Amino acid sequence: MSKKIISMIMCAVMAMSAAALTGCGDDSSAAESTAKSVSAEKSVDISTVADKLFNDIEYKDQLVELSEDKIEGVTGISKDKFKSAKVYRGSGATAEEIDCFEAVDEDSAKDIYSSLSDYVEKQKTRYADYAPAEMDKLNNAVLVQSGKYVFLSISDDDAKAKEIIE
Amino acid sequence: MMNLSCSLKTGAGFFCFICEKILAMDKVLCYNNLGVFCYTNNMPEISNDKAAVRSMDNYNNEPNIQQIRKKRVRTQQSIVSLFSIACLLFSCVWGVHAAGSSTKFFAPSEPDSSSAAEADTKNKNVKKTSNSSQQDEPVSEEQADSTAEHDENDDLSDALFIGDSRTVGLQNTCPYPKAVFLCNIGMHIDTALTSLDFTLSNGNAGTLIDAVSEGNYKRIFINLGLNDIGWPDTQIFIDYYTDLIKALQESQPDAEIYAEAILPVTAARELEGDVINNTNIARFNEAIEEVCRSTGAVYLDCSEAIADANGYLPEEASTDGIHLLADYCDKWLQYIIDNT
Repeated sequence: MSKKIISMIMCAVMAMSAAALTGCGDDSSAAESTAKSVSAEKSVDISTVADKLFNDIEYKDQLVELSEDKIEGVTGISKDKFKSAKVYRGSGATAEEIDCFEAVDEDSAKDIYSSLSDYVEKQKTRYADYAPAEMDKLNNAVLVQSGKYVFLSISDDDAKAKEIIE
Repeated sequence: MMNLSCSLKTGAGFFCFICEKILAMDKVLCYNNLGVFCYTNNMPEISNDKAAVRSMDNYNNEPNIQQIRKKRVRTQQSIVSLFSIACLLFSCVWGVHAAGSSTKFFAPSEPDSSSAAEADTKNKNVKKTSNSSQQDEPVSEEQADSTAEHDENDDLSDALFIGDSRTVGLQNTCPYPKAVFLCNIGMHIDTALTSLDFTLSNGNAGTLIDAVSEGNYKRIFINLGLNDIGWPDTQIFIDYYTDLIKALQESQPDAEIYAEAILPVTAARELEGDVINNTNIARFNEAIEEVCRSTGAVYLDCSEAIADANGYLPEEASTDGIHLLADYCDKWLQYIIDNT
């Protein structure tokens, strides 16, 4: 009888210890496992990519994240083209910016890519006279479409941007 | 030797007492560096090492060794159960403590979570700049929440902003999604009416007035002129500006048109020695005032919201001395809301 009681107590202790250890685990471990599962499904967390572009590249301007309800108005890309988006823009002093979109499908991704491509060309025309020093950034803009994902990075460090995006 | 014997005796006695009283054990096996000895309830108190060894010998002579082993196993089980109870208690205390700590993250319930999140987003996402130590300071909560004491009902849903790169910066930081911005980098007053630089709702390129005609506005704010202050003669500027206002009045007859004064630049920017300086800005602001007098537009000078005591844009307000960073755009926008 006493053996049974001891066994039950030990099981309870082990279960509680396991629960306590799991509960005290860092959130990052949970995030890591999520990232792995996402990776297995060949999907991309555009927010992570955008934040990496934001944090790992040095910008001259102060970039601010656009709220979701402003993205359509500022970029001119229709809301029904994308599922989620994260966009950083600056004060107007430089051409630096970050645009990351997860389109609703691959066709919409192509449309977004086309819009951003046109936009970069327009920016080149505008900055050519206004701030020629920004032309290097625009000429080396990293614009990538991969499946239903579209990324644009305009910065001084296009190599780093490519590394992050690809 | 005497001391060792005493301590052994005391320690063993204490352990056996605990086991006996708490676990109601009949016999307890104890170990020490002299060998194994047995203590039972009926056993006389151990007085020295020899007595302990003698007791062991006597015990070994007993016929029922199986019973001794059972007792030993029971003792081991008791020790394990004690340890388990201690772990259980520790886990409970730890769990309660951890739960108490984690509630700190959820405890403060915000009355307006959207505005709080907005302020938080502003603070998080302000990017540090590389060329100014002052700009390395993140926007403070007070600065980010500069709308707190002002007209919070004005969502600028009836407002249109027309302007150059400074207005582009304002658009990027403006927290009101219903406000409409028709602005471009390097926009000039002389091409404002002719340039096909705006994308219309049908996807085609159009002029500023084409784009304005697609909406219905009560307030139109113009912030142009900085890209034109190098002109030697302000009269041409006045003419173009007048044409622009008249075209807007025709397109939006119910709208009040505000012609904003050109905002000042920083002292450091002025020292660069080109045409971009506050003297030229003041000269062209007089021209804008003159346009307002002749057209009925409202002259709106927002400089007091962002300039220092000497009339300069503070150095920390901009990375290039011209374009306003997020917290100064907030001040600029708030001034507009409060004065229109």
